Amino acid sequence: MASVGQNAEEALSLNIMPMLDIFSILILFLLMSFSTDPVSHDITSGLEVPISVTLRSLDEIPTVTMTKSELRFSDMKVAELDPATGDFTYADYQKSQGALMVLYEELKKMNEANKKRKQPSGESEEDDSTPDALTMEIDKSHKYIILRRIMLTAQQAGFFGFKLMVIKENE
Amino acid sequence: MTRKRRFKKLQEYQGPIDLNVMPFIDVFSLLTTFLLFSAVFIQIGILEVQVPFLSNKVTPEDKPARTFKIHVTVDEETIEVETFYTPDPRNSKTKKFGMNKRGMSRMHDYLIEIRSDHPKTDILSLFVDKEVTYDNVIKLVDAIKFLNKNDPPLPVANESSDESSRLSSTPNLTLYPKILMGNVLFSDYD
Repeated sequence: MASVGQNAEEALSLNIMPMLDIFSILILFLLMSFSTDPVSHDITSGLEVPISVTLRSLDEIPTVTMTKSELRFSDMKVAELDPATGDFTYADYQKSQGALMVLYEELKKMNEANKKRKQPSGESEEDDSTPDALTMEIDKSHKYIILRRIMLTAQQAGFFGFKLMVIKENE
Repeated sequence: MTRKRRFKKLQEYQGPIDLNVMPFIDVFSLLTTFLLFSAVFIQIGILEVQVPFLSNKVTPEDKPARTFKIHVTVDEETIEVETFYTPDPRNSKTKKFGMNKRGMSRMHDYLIEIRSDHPKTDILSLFVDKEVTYDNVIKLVDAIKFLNKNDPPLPVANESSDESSRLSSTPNLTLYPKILMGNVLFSDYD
């Protein structure tokens, strides 16, 4: 009866070629999917981002995040959705012609800070002709009214361009 | 032992040649681990849109040249594309499409026709009803902004000098690089 101990003098050789094959394929696959995007950002949990054919990559972390139930500005909750209407609660926008006052104040502060950073030596504000853009991460199930309120608020705070975060469609 | 002797001994060796692959496997393992940690399986991108804003720039006193404009108005069921001139005479033309995949595709083809006829107009205003879902807005922006692989090339490349649109558009890949969300400032919020 054969046993392990009987052929102790024989050299055991491990065939590592299949393992090398698997490693090679894995490396090839990982190198293909390796991302050289300037910014790496994970989609907020519980939020579904729409799919787009855009080729532009995300270049900054989203400032405004609209989950299924609440609006966040840099991880700070600024407004909540009314589940009955699918819109913000009336108190959030009733005194500001449809804009969201809390978000406006935060965006205004951010815009002023950005301007100060751009003009260190007291240059006039009019010199800055490029409008500021705001990156937003919004759940795809929301209605346009939500997007419009956020855009209106940002416009009032001095942001005229918007970068809407999407998932790139695979070619 | 000198190098010459060692080489001579190696030349005289007749036994089996054994290649030590262990360092090779070590390198592969490390590379795999590094790549697995840094792998991004979902590619995140951005779509750029703008909102109108008031400017205090002094307008030239000359009589303004006639400008060609495109307005796309969308509600839950229809897409309406209106082309017109300002100032009057307006010479307005309107075409309607269904708010579905087929309608968006037909609208895209119509916009290619318009862009081919008016290559210098690279901006389009989008008016979206408040009940339209954000997902559909993105699909619509895709159909307006980008050319498909099978689309015919546009006769003139985008002449935009604006930094953001220059970055966002590779020549002949975009249809209308600048999209203005037209009704953001309207006051029908209640």
